[in-house]
Amino acid sequence: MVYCQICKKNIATVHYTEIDADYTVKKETHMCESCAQTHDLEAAQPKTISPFKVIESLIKPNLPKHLKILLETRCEQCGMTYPEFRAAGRLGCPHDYHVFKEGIQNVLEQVHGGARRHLGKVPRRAGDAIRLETRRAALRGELEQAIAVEDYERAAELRDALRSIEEEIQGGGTSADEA
Amino acid sequence: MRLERDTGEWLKGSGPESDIVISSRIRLARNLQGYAFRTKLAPAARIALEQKLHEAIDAAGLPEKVRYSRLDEFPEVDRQYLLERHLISREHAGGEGARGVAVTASENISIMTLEEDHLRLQVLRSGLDLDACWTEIDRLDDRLEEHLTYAFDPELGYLTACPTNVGTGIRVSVMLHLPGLVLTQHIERMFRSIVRISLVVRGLYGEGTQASGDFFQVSNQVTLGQTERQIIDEFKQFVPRIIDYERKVREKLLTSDRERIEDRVSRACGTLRSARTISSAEAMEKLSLVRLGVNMGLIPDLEIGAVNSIFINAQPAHIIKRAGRAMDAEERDVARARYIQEEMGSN
Repeated sequence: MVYCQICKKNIATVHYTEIDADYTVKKETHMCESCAQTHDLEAAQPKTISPFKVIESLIKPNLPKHLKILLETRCEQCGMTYPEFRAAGRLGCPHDYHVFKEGIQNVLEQVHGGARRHLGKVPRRAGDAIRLETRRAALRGELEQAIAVEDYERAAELRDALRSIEEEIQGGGTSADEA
Repeated sequence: MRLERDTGEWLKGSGPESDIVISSRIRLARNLQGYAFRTKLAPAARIALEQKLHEAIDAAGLPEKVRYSRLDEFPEVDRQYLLERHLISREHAGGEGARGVAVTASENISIMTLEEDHLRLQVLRSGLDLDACWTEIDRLDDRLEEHLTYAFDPELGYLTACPTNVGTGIRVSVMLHLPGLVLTQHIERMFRSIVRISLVVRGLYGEGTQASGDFFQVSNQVTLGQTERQIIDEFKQFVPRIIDYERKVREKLLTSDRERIEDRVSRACGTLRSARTISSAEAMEKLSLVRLGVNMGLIPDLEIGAVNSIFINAQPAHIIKRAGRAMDAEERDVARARYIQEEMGSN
């Protein structure tokens, strides 16, 4: 049994715990009902309590290690945190894709039907090597699909296109737009 | 901002299948390397970036005359006006801070700066014409890239503020007028088949808006793991099936239920030609039936381009711009009824 730390008479029924940003317990106060009502808890509290901090503090002890790391990560370029991203659904800067890779993978799989690789347009500035590599990956996918639906005419065209891309890749990516 | 006498090219009703497909639209989301996405930009950095993007648009040499406007310097009615013309998104109209839009004279191209992404390129075309949209937007994107370095990752593609757009950053959409399917209650079944092939149905003004009345916007959801071509091809396979479905339903209505459909169309026409006051919602509902009537050959004295134009011009901000003064809802309803009769004639 714990006695109220304020009046030191009644049994403490209100237990107030202050938790630091790093989830370590900073201070515990035990009070009785009447002292708790008069005691200025507000002053001890941070001005706003983020609901995400509360949820985090509840689930955090049970999380696997990699998720704990993710929750503690802050992008050094834009200052974004993972809970902040989950709350807003928007990232803070291009670098966040790298910083929160593990957390974003989930979202990508859900939204994009399990796709993991970009197969579309490549900006000219990204260079020929990336352009050819992306094209090769796209053609491979299309070829598989053509075979799956038994469209052999299309499959033959795709196979030829794939061969010519592969020759270009082996040739060191010399193409018309490099000239 | 001046009231345009005319609507955009894309509303002329001249494109393929434009009796059912009002317009085709492709948008690309792009961001610059070395800059935070919009929400993490400090106000001063945001102003500087807006300027940089504006300069790049000017330098890119678009195929037509372009007008660039700073939306944060615009009164609300002008932002609403651009939204009603489908030149900016709802988010862009309602947002805050330095942001702008470049619009070409034909209104076929618009480029939003500092919307959710640094750049949102949009190309619109009348009817079902996604190939033309893609050719145009691909070229536009190349031209801009000559002046800007995009945030791009070899694995993830174009990096966007929201991971739902990452990869190609493409949103392909077609705006469909499907009163026949709504009238015969076949629309639900059609939507279920859309969901199965990973396309989504949205409202008239894109993301975050509800599909209402007889107008529907069908868009892709997946942006990663498919080429732009594959995404467009999915539409090219699927949209003609919707068109067919709608046409068959209309034919059936004409043969088996001619009186009922003629009655509805001519009542709608009657209301529009004689109302003294009409709300935006009622006008849209009646205009949809008039549009159906024109396409079914039931109203010989109206052209589809004219009906499309009334749709745009009867919206609230357009009515206010036309009057040249602030108006409350009741005044707008009176002005709307009058405007529609100027265009359609009165009873």
